[in-house]
Amino acid sequence: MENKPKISFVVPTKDRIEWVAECVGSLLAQTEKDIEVIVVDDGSKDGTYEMLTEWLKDEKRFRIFRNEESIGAGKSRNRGTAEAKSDLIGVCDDDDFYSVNRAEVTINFFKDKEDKAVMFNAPYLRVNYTGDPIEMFKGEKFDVEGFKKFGRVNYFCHPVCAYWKGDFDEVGGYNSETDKLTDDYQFVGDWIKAGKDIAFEDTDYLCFHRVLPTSIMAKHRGFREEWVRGDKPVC
Amino acid sequence: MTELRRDPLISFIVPVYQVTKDMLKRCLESLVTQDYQNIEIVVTFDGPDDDLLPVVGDYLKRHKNIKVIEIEHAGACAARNAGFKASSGEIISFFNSDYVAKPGMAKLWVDTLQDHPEFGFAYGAYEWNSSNRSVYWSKEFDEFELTQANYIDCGFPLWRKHVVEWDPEVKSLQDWDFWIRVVKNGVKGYYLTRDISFVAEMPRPGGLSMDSHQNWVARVKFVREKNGIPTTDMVACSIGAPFHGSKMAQMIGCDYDDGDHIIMKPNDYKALYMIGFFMRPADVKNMHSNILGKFKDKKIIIHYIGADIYWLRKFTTEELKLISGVLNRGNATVLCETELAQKELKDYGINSEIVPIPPYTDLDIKPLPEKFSCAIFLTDKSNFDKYCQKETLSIVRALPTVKFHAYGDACHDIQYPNMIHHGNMTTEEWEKFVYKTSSYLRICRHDTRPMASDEFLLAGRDVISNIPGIGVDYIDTGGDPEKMEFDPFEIGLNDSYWPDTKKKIVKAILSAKNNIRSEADRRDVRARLAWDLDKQKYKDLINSFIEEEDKVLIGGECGK
Repeated sequence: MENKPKISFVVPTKDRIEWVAECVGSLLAQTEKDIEVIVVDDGSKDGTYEMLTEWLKDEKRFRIFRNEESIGAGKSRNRGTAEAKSDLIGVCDDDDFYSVNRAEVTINFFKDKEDKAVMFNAPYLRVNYTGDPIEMFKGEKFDVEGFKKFGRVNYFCHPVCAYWKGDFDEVGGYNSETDKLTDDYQFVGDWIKAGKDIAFEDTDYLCFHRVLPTSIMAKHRGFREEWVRGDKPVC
Repeated sequence: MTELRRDPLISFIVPVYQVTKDMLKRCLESLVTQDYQNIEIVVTFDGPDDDLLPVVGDYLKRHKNIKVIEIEHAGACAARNAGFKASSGEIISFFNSDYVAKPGMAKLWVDTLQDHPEFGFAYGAYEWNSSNRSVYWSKEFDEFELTQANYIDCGFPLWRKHVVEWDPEVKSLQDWDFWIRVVKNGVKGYYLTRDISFVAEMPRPGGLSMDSHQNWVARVKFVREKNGIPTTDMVACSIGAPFHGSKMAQMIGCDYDDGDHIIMKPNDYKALYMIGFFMRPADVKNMHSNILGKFKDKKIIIHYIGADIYWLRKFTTEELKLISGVLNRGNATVLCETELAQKELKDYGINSEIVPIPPYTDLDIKPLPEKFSCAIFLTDKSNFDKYCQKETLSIVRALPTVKFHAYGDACHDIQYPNMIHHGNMTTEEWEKFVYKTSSYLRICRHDTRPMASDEFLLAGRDVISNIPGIGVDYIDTGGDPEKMEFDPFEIGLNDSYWPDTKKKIVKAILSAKNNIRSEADRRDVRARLAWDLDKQKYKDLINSFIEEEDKVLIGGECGK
């Protein structure tokens, strides 16, 4: 039987040739080497697929899949997760990058939780467009009651999440994002509905998160310049 | 070439004439306490001195490696020559009796000379014994610049075989005369950069150095004429880009000064050619205005280069009126390098003519390297990130399939698998560097006409830049005047626009990689540029400005 990597990172991407390499590069540079990176190219027209293919033609831990027609980020995550070899899935966004110990910390968390239906969450840093930190999010435990009652999210960083593939399948994966709902919000709702837990670990900042003007977050909440302004670095 | 590593004897020749006991004691003490053992000290009395002899006597008792000789008073040069004859070291230092060696100096000198056998002498910084211990840092070795002014103190060490006789006819600037003749024999100097070798006493009132200040023009002329260095009517000067300034001066055939001498000393030049000219509102002291003050009745040519114009934005309208008033005066000619710069200057009320500065290299079209690569410029030489270090590095991270070759003084600690950092280069290394790469990326928050961009184009390389120009693959980062965004460079680099700009840059680089331009196309660009950047044309133009009749002073038209 083929060896399973300890974690599969799934990166959906579309027309982000100028950002995706930094994301994939940070995953392949993890201290934990026994990982795989799956990129699902959601019908990019800017050369993303060609660039990644050329760059990583000799990288065994990397695989890329291509949607001829765009199906959206959520559905692309589903496709990537279906292709994953590991039982453990790490969620990624193509415009973010990750600290070198993300895989190590995540795997460690799940070590004694093989039978637990839990989603991993951790602190993140918001960075500006040249990668300098501009805001820290120390994070806290997900407030399930608040979410159930009011649909309120006290803290949740989607691109640092990890979960067992089995739980993902039970929940039914992601739906297409709509004008009202992002893919991650829907997924979390389904996850909670299915009676599964969301844990919070007070770790290092594992994700370096950016908000692009074209990102879903900006689309839903309106783009705010303080999300990217780099004149006041926090560290 | 020198032999294998060993401990050669170094002789310190210390001429003694009218110093205090304390000074002499301090000097000798600093030499005998050096942690390098194989030294010899030749104390040469320039005329008998009964007060000072006992000071040396004390040392003679305790140290075997001290020699004392005495000549009839004939000046420092004669004393040094006599001391040299009496010495036997393989390495010689003419160390003044009012100098104090820093600990480790001798070892540093000997090690440096042995480590760099292609250099005949080593030189560098020294400290003044002033209240603030100011340092004279000296500068990188350049043969031409040594013919313009001295930057090598007499105390610095050279191999015995390179020593030339000190000329007693030269009354001041003797060390300048000495080093000119050493260097004329083909000997090169190694610059010790940050290491300060010794502490020197400030010039004494009534001493020769002070006299040389008063009679500076005549003294300089004497040394120059003696060494066959032609005198010229114009001096070129550059504060912001001294390396370019010196090369431009050589291209034009005029004198060069890095600012120190024309501010501090008198001169009899007819014209000043200021290469680069910036004033910042916050500057309390501005070297450029000091220099202009020295030439207020003479011809002044001011060439706006690089990001000079950027700083004009920071002035108020009233301040700009004053500046443009001075620059539009009859004795000043303002030059810039591009139409865009001319327009910007015009907006600030300054009239200018377009004269591009040609590169001093002779690059020609050569075959592209087999594997595509892209050169980038990383520099800190600015008080903010004017040359877009961070943005440039983010492009490197975005394109792992492209090999990047970086140059410049910044980001040496940054390592990316697809980037090699070459640091600062000599002109020869630079030419090889240009031929080794296929393209050049240059983005900035303000610039006029980077010489590097021109050089890459002349060599048939692609240039991707947000500075428009002939043959440039232009990334427009300018603002939209409709939205009251008048900045020609910076808007597209701002946070809200950078993702779009970044995409354009990434696409432009990949397009250069995937669609190689034909050689005919490259030759066409080169031909158009070469006409613009003809060296003789430039030389004639600049020289013609000296002859130009003063324009009539129009007081009322100052400013906008």
